[in-house]
Amino acid sequence: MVKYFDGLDAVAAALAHPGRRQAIGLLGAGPASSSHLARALGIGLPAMHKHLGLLTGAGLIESTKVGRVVTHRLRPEPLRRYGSWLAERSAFWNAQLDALAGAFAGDRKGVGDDPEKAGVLE
Amino acid sequence: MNALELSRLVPAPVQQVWSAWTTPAGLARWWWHTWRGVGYDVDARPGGEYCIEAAEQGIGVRGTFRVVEPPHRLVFSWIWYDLVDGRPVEQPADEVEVRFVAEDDRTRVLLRHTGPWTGPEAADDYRQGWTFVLDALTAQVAVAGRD
Repeated sequence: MVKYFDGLDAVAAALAHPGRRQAIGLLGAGPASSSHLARALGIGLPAMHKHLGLLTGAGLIESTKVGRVVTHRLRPEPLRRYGSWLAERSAFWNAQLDALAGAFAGDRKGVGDDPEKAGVLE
Repeated sequence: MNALELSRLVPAPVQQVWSAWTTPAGLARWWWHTWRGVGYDVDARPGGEYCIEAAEQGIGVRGTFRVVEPPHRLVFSWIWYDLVDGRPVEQPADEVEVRFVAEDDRTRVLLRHTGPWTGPEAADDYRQGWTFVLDALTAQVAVAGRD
């Protein structure tokens, strides 16, 4: 598979799952063990390991083993890079659409035709 | 998430806004229109290509039209490039969909920009991933105490 933008495709795929987002949210508060995360998500350890594998592959977590306990720690850098990718495109298109609306605003006489400011649709 | 979605209400009828996206003269009215020397090539047919290049600024974008349904829908590939020593250095192809919906004598422009990564997860899951990232980054910035 073609690597895109330093693995942002893996980050996007990792975040496209509610359980994995929940795990990242929990790890934002501090490191946690696999079993702690599994309990919080309400899933078994095998399923948790699958999710952890995807998060590790995306560079979103780092894991250390002490004795029999594996502890996972969040790496926020991929989130920032992904956020930057989205923010850059959002800024670009907002500027473009402002220009598009502005090109026609001058054509109209009269009041009350302000182009509506757009946001990101969810 | 996988896609970015924005909308704008443009004060012109659908046909005019369609032309603004699909003809060189139309694009020149708004796409990098404050820069000199921007070149506009557009062949708005399925399989047709477009290229908008700002040589002085060293950037351009090009691609191929996948869907052309006048005057309501355009889908095209999106390849951004930087000019390095006059040669294009391209980024991977994204995809853009633009829809034009009449609202009285104005046009609602709906734009969706999709990253090249697509997975088996539904588009909605990707969208929630985007919201999650935004919220997380906003929280971090708030904690750091700087804008």
